[in-house]
Amino acid sequence: MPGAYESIASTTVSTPVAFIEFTSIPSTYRTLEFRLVGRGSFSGIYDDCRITINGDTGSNYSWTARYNDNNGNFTYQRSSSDTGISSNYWTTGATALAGAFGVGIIQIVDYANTNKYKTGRSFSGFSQRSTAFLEQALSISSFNWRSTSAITSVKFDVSANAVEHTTFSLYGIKDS
Amino acid sequence: MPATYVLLAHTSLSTTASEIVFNSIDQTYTDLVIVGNFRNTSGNELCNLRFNGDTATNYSYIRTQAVGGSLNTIDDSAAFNRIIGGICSTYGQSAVVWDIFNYSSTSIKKSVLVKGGYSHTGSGTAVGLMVCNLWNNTNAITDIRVFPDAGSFSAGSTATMYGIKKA
Repeated sequence: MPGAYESIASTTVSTPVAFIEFTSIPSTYRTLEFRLVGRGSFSGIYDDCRITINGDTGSNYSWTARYNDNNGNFTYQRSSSDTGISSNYWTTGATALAGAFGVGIIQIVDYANTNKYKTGRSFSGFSQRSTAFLEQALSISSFNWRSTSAITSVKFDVSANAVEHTTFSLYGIKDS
Repeated sequence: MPATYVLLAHTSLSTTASEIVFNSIDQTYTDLVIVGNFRNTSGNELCNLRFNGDTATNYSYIRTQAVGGSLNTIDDSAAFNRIIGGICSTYGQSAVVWDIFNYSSTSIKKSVLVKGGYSHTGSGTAVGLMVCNLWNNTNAITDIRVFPDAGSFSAGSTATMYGIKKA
């Protein structure tokens, strides 16, 4: 990975924002990797961070997620036709442990290829030092965007607003 | 674009050791990635991290784990004394990757995603696991200790630390 892994862009929130979007993504890499550290201002422990690509809000996405919580449950969720990608990354919310953020790594392979649909995968979760029900979660997920267009922008909608110190970073991985 | 997946430190054990320590960690990166390849002197043991010498119950985790051919464990702890996620076994070489987010920040608490496991064809039980951990502390991470629950790392075990810097 060293030498083939490059920083493309990063946003660190200083005042609350409703979404974070990466635009004008160069097509010179094989894989995109997003590294996400996020917290929202919504009232709750955690919530889904919805993702759309190239501004497409049509029913062109499918996704599946397997996640578990600290009550010993694990669950599958999926959608075969959605207007965005859900359940691939969660931020913590206003009632989560102070200073605890949801973290995630999302990779999209062959994002610039114009001959096939785009597939991504994610690994995400959050932990907090508390014993309350449903207050920790861990997920492994994947998604598909049914378009052959090269990906040039990716938007993350945070429930309510992303708060200070939320940091979303984008990296590109080359073949060599 | 600048390359930013930089080797910070590497340890390859020539003799048995109870721990691997990374100290005086460069604070100029955004995330740390530690890649381990371990073998233990006895049994199957968790392989752990501790930050800045903190041995108190200031860590939490949620874990899912497959042992042998079944989903064995979905568990958590709200007050643990270390970051978990790795396995080191006497039966085979294990692999683990710890992703440590915003390690140098003094504004947020430190979250760690982990994937680890080992597989083999001999005796003993194969294990695969994923974990999300939290260190309930906003201090920048300057020192990391890597260690098994019991036994020691065998000769040939390696741990490599990389730094990733955001744009």
